[in-house]
Amino acid sequence: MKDRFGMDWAGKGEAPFWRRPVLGRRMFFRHAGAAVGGYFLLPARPMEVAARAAVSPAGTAKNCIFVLMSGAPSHVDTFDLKQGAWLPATFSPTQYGDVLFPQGLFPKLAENIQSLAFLRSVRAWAAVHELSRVWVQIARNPFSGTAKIAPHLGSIVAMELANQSATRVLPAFVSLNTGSGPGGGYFPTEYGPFYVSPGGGGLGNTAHRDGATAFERRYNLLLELDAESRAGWAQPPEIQGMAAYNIAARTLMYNSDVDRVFTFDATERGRYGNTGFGNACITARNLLRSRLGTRFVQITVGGWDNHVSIYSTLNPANANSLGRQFDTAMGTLIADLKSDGLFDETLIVAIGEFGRTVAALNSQAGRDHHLQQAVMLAGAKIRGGRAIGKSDPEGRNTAEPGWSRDRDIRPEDIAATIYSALGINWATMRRDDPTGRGFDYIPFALSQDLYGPIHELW
Amino acid sequence: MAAFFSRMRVTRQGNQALDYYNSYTVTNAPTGTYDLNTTFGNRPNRVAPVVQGRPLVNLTPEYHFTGAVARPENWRASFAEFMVSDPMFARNMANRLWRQMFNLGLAEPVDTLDPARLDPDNPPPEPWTLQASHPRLLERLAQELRRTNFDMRAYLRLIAQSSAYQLSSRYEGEWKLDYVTLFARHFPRRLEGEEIHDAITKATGVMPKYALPFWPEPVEWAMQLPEPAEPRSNGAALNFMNTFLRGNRDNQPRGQSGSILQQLYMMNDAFTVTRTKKAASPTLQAAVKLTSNEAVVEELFLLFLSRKPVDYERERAVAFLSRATTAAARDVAVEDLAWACLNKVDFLFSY
Repeated sequence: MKDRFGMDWAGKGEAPFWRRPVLGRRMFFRHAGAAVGGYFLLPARPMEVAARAAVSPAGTAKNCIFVLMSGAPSHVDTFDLKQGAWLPATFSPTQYGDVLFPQGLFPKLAENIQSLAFLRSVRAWAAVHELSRVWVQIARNPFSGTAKIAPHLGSIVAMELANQSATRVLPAFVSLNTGSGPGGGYFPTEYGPFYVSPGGGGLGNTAHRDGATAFERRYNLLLELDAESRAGWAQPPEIQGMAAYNIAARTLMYNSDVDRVFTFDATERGRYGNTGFGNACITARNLLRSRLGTRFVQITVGGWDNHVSIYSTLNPANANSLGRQFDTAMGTLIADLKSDGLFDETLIVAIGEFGRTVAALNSQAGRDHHLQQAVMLAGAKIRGGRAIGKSDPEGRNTAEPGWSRDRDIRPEDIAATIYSALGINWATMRRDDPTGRGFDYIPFALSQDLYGPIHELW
Repeated sequence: MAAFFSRMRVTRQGNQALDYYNSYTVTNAPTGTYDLNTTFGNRPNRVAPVVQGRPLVNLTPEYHFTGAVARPENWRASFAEFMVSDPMFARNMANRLWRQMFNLGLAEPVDTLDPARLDPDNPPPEPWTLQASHPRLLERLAQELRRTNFDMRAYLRLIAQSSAYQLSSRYEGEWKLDYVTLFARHFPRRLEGEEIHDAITKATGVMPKYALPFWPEPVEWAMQLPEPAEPRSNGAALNFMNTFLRGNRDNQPRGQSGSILQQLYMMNDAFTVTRTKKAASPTLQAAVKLTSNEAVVEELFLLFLSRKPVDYERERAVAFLSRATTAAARDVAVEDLAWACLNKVDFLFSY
């Protein structure tokens, strides 16, 4: 029997929802014709792309770890270090080739400096936390027309790479320690962020509260009662679609592969610093190691809004300060990915929503909001040990853009870089959006080439 | 439009550190003007236009679409009057409520109605077409809303009693794409987070109490919550409902899709599992008192799914309950059946 898209599911058996038949050309035009009538807002509509520019993505990465340093870290104390009377000596500013780096604050990252690249001509569009934080995650102005339907970068990656994973047990986009923020936008929920705050004790709600025996008994009863509905005799396709999610959820439960990803012991936690961020880094590593379908991992790490006493938050002498904790977890993650052989196929990005004021500290020994910022990248065969772009001696503005577009690097360019690294055409315009005006992965990238990747990284 | 609101005062109630304020007190001010030559605020300076040789410094608000001028005694009330007498207001309401019932508007997307493409007596020039799939129906429905002075209950009754609404969600025969806008079958709608919460509350009889900041009384039903960031006082219920995509005011639209996480929550979360326990649920306590297993099965299906079991469901569920040999085992089996009813795929749908 054919469903409402004219597709025949007979013989597909329990094929999971991501293995739906691809639309043929004829089907597409029938769909496009009907879309004028507005039916595309129904659930389970087919997704279609209209236009892509002829660009050459780098395609060196299979995965991305996107570290969102929420609160906006001080660029002049971290990735674009500036020396001055304010800087504690414990920062141990060390020159590695072109890169001046706070070896004292980030000792483990310093060991990997030849694998790290820094963008130092980055400029945020606004110094407002929530606004800019959303901006870096959706690569557009949160007040613009398409922002309300815009998927997170990770959702676009998930959608684009969905068919490339051999195993798809876990969602393609997993977001760790995040909890809220931009989601899948208008994309189907399967591409939205799968929020987890890992503690090492397994994935939440994948074990039944009354135990495995009770669950088996109940689930078997459920399948008995639902058999006809799920076979499609009794229920319309929308309801059958929900059954597919149920089956996918069932595969996560009592699944030793999944448990291995989200379970880790005290020794492991200790290596990563015994912090929430460390636990997230372990989980990110395990997710990529397991190859269960996850391609984009976001880790949110807060605490960088240092208006007050910045050098107690970034205190090289205190291994439990945020700066050192960040270094311990990131450094160990990079080392582990290298020994797994995953480093070269994984793009790591560490970015805040903007930077902080420069030179001497404010009256409360802190730094306030500032547009200039700096970003760290690693992996995906980018050439490390370098800085792209230069800020002026204080770090207030860009002095040399240092890349082909010869202007400040913007969040849109960084998103384009991530897409390029993953082999995704950043100049893509979809035509399946509910507003009917077309959805650009990167605003105006297709029509005006307004933003693009930083090719100089490779 | 801002001019209409220049004689209005808004006081925020509540904790301003929260993402969304909880309530506002709105009052009318007797005076106030909408100034056109201001130099303050976070925007470019505005220069008043010169009209008949004099700078026009402030305006009496007028309704842009008809030119009607606001009554001097209450500008805000005038705005409300102008707005509801605008035919677009009735069309918009008619279309949105239709969509709520049918899961597809007569004109889509419902957020972008085009005034120039809705009047069937004044169709737009070629190549434009009327926006609604059934322009005359939408117009009649809009007229009906105005005739009944926007009595929404009467309007929803009208829709619910229509043969179009009462069609089955199944379609006998080959379904064609062209049939979608003909509403040739009912389109199932996944319940929203609040509806699912309330459906579980209703079925199990486990009544929560959510304290809301700056509200006089706690609420029991999710439908009473003022906004999707609530209830902050109960993280379990908040997370449960947000898993069903309640969205927010800024950057997440409300969604209807399914997800893996939703299913994990339905099967295993404390929110559902603890509510399907006899100890917690008054309705299950009443159900286990029924001596006949047939009666228990019928009662649970009516409680959870608002329908009677079909034959094969009744047969299998009764067989499941009959396997219990002791009263305690039967209680557990009834809990199992309640859990299964909650997790049946159709629980989450209006179909």
